[in-house]
Amino acid sequence: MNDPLLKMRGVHVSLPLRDGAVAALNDVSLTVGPGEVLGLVGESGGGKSMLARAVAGLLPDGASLSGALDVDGRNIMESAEEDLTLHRGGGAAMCFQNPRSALSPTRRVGRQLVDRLVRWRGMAPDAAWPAARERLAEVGIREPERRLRAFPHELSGGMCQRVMIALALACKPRILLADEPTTGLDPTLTKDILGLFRDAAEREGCAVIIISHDVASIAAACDRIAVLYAGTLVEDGPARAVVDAPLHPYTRSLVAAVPHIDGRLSIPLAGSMPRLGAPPAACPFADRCVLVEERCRNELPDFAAMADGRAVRCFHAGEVGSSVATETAAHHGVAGGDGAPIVELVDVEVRYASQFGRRGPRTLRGVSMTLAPRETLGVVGESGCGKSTLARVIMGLVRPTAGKAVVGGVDYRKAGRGDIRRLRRDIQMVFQDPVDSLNPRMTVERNVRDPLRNAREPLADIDERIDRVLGQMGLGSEFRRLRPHRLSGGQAQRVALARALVVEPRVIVFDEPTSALDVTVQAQILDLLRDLMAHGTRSYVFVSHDLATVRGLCDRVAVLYLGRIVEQGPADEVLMRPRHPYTRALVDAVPTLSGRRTAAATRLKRDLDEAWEAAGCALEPRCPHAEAACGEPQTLRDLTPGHQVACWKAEHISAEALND
Amino acid sequence: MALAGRLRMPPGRTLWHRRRPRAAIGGHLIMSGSLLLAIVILGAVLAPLLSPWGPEEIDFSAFLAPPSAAHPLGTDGNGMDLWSRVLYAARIDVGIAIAAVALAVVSGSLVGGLVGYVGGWIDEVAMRLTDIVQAFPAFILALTVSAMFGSGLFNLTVAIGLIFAPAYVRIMRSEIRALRGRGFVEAAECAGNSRVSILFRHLFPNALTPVLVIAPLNCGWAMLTLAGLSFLGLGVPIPQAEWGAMISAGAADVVGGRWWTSIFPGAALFVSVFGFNLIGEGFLDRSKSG
Repeated sequence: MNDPLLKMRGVHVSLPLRDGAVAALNDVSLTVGPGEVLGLVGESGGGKSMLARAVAGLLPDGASLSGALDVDGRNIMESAEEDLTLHRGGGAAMCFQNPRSALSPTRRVGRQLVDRLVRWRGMAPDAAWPAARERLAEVGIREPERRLRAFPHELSGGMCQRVMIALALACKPRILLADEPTTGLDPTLTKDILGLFRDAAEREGCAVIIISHDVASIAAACDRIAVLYAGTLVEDGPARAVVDAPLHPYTRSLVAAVPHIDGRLSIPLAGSMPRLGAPPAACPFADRCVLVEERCRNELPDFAAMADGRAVRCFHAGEVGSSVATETAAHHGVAGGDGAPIVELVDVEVRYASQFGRRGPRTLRGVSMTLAPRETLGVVGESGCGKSTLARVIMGLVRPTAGKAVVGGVDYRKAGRGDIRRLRRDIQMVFQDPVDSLNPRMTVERNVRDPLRNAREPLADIDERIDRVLGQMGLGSEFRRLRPHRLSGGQAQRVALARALVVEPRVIVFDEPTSALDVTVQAQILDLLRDLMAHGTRSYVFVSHDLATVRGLCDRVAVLYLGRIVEQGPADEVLMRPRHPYTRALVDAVPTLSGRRTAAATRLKRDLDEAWEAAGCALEPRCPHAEAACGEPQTLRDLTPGHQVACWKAEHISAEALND
Repeated sequence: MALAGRLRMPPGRTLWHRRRPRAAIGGHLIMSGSLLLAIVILGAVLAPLLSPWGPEEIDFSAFLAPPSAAHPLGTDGNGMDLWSRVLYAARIDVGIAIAAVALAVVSGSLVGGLVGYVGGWIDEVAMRLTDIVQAFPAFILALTVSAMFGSGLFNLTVAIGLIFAPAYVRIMRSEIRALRGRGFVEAAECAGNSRVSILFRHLFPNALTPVLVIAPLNCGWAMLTLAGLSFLGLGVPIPQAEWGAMISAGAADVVGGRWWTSIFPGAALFVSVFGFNLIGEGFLDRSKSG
């Protein structure tokens, strides 16, 4: 019936690098039909982006490609350069990972969009402007007239991605490629953006390929999923089937690495992907595979077709069961309350000075919270809600402009620099960008030694301590001499963890410690954290926008919205039975492997950057349940002992359990 | 495979392709520059061995004599041997250039690093002061210094150092300000470092690269400045051997066909400045590829 729009048969791509060639794609065969959404998943370096570039005719200089690559029935490898220009855009249009840098910074959004409509859809310039407005509205941009006149830097990241999609669709492409379109976006936005691709496929009848390392979000948005490992396609099939019953051990590991909001633990996959110099002669996954046997190391399995339109490249395809281990998080059950709190914030307000020395907007407004010894507190909320500022206040890196912040008996508002420095012995922090958080001029050893040096420990013990923490983080002594730029993200984060642990602090603050890492590496780091937290001798603050991880790790959760805590309480209680509409929206946006959750989901009416300063409840402009009474300011009140919420309507909005 | 060549990325995008190994080219430049300078410095150090004449010794039998066996490069109007003067002059020229730039690097980066880290009004005041210093033409500044403190090698060094210091203040300040927001600085604060320790142990080592890249280039400029000042009579006192002064003294002789009095010091100056510039370019290449 429908001819496929993209047909790849035995495509190989190899790149010459200074230190030898890299086989970036090996024998890739793939078809995508009109209106179909294909998700392409795998770890970084697996060749996902290379596949997209091959399809778009944007391979790097010197790359050689062989095999058959047909787009809409035409072999683009035989096209002349002029035809390729037509192909990029009309044939295959691309949405890049960092939308802001992919948009031309000096030209207004409207101009860029109108240009494309004129060029690719043959519209008259006069007619193109209203059409551009419609196109922006289609991708969920409110007030399109105003946004058309905006420059890219005036838009938020999410809005830039929407514009990017509108631009790509304006070319009337047969294939729409999206390279990690939602990496770095909040779950609330991710869901919306992925939804746009689905709409586009249905409306325009084009084929869509979404590249992502986030299996969970992809599962809900795609018809089919293809899994790439070391440039080799290892599995391809209907999205639901692939996620529910993965056939290839690698797919199984990817699925198992996804943290789940019901508290299921993510199971890390050890090791790392090999870099192939030539197309593999044996199964490239053999070294990391649990089912490996002699044959896997000597022969490359065929990409064999299975029932229900599935295909897999594994000798053991039948043997891999469909069940994904379901171990549930064992909380250490120390829900605070024992002993005096180690961190106490009372009505903390933070205002950063604006550029011209005036007092800027408040990033924290009246935040009060406590952290008990041996307790793990999760702090969640969208980007820009003050989570990182809160972490920095606890660390004493940012001084509150009003209110009281007492940590380990030291009142930050009264303490001198010396007092705060002495406190560093007791409280440490792990940052979001692991490589950036290590001094590039210092070796791993000196980076880890730094806090010890300042704590003035007795010297004899120091080397053993460094060895011990590095070992605990799974880093051998060969890492001691390396500089940070030689480390991968996961290794760098292990070093940063070792640095935080080496002084044996009483509190560690994590600021999104895994959001810059690949899925499987994320799972490895989370595994380390879980081991650490299981010992239960320390308190942790865990800042994250990944609710599933917070649910798996934390005792208590505080939900932050625009600098205010809108709900806080036990993690199970808050995340499984959220009361505040904001928490509900966050929870509903969490991607789940178990399928699309559509019933009674709370969706906010606007993106965060479109909200305005409300006189009453801060969420009012976005809240789907808002009514006149919400014009009154809301304060935290006890719902049940230990569970507080800042919404008068909390009881009226029916509390439904989510783990259905 | 033959078709594959057509699928190319536009030039300039190097997402996947490793950059050309520029470090190797930089190494080449550094090597040749160092070789040139080594020859000049060796000549300066071994001058007493390489020439029987002292730099200010007068041969009363040979005024303005063309190159000969006794005077390989000839003599100047005062009967002084040019070969030995060119050799001895390198001590002054290269010495002052390096000393002046070292002074500028140390003082400039210290001030720049400090005000960049502390910020606020001190930063503002320091930047306006560098604005003022940079607004003066270099020669006027050097003239002012020698008028105020007298001429002499030390004052000359300080004056030239003063000319170049503001550039280092600016470079260091902007580097430190850019680094201040980086994660490792916050991490250093969390590790319990004092502010002094953050500045000197964490920030400075990471900010030094651009300073070290332009220092050799500046040595070349400093040498030209010194020669220029001496040419104008503001530099090294006569009859001390210095290339700029020698070129100046010989300039009038060229008209009379006695080319050797200014050509040889000029060539020596050219070789040394070229050597410094090669090293500077080499470092620049290396820092870009690094």
